[in-house]
Amino acid sequence: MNRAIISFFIIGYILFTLQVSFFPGMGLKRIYFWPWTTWHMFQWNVSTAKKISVNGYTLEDQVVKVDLELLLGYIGGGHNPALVIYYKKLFTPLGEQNAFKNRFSEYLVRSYNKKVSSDKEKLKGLDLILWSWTKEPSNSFEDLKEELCHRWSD
Amino acid sequence: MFSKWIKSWNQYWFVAKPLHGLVLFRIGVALILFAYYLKRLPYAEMIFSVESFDHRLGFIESLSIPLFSPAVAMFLVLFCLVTSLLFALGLWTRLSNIFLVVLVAYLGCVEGMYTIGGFNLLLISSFLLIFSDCGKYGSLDYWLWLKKGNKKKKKEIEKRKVGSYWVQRLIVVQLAIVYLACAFYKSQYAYGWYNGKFLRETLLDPYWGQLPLGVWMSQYHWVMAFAGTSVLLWEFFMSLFVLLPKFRNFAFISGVFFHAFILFTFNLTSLFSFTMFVHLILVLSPYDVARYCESFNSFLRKNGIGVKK
Repeated sequence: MNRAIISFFIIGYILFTLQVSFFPGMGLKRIYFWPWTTWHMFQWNVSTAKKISVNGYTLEDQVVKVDLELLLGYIGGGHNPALVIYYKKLFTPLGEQNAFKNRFSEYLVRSYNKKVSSDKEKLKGLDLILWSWTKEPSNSFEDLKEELCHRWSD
Repeated sequence: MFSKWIKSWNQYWFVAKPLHGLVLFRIGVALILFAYYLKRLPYAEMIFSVESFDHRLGFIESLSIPLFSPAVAMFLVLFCLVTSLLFALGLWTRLSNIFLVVLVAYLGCVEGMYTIGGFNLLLISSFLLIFSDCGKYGSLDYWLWLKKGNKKKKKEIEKRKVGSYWVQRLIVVQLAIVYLACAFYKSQYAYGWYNGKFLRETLLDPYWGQLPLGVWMSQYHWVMAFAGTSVLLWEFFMSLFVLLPKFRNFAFISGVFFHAFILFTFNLTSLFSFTMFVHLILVLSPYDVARYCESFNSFLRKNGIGVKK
């Protein structure tokens, strides 16, 4: 390839990478190269976090889902990648908001130490329950939580 | 003056150097992607298809990414695994590289992995490798070329061991920007890092932390303060060290320690640490890497397992 073209590419690439790495509001620790992923990330930060709603529960309502997060986080600790992703999608936007973040982390550390014992076997099949829950939007979150807690206490 | 500047520019980017580092990098990147998608293969339907969690919860629609049936999703993941293996082995290297990048970009978008720095770095680097000579040597393509009766062409063989350096250089520059951006991000909350508060919180977080080593370390305030301060300063200086030839070895060794620390104390997927490990290979001098590889090869030959000359 022609050196001039490559040089042009190199300079453009470095400038673009610098711009997207330090662009305010894009999540500074992250790097974005692909124009479409940059755009998606922008949409994610600006729109999705506001619109996020699971079975009718909005961002603010999700603060009640701490127990669910606890369970998901626990299963997500190296078992089912699908759940890890689900968990991240559900709660990452919350993590971006400091007001929620502090409440969450404090609560989680306390409840994790108190509640999570060692028996991972109890949690088997939870991924399927959660997955079927997403198939049935008519089921309320409270029903799901009850089912999860029931299984947890078995 | 201008011509002198052009000369230095050309010397910095376009001098041909040994490809051994880039070959190791290619194999590392391909194997990480292979392991990553192998782990997701049983869950292809739940992650990548129209039946996925994300689709049901309405995340995908907002990002306007096309989704396919579970069978097609499974095929795409399998195809990604095959191309990553071909890329690792260096068979039809450039073609397998292009297919791999397209598939990983698509699957990464569906999975929402563009929010993860380590994954992006992997994707970007594999994209840049398309323009490199990483399949010219240390690959099945090279072996096939030898089989075609080129074994005795010593000059040609030596030529295939070196290649264009600009891709490797650009990946290292990218790495420097990543470290700088990380340090810049942390410096906005510098106090929390200096007193170790953030590190302690992360190590004890039920999702990100709670690994035995991290929990044990978090008991000691001075360890947290020291580690938090070191991380911030190290990342700042690392953005320079990876670019300065004098500090290359230090950057490599400290980088390996730093990312191994993350691997054992944070409950992140190992994707991030392994991605950084393979990237650090490119920080080393290509001549040094070539020397290490040649000595390793001759050690293997002495023991009867290496490639015979």
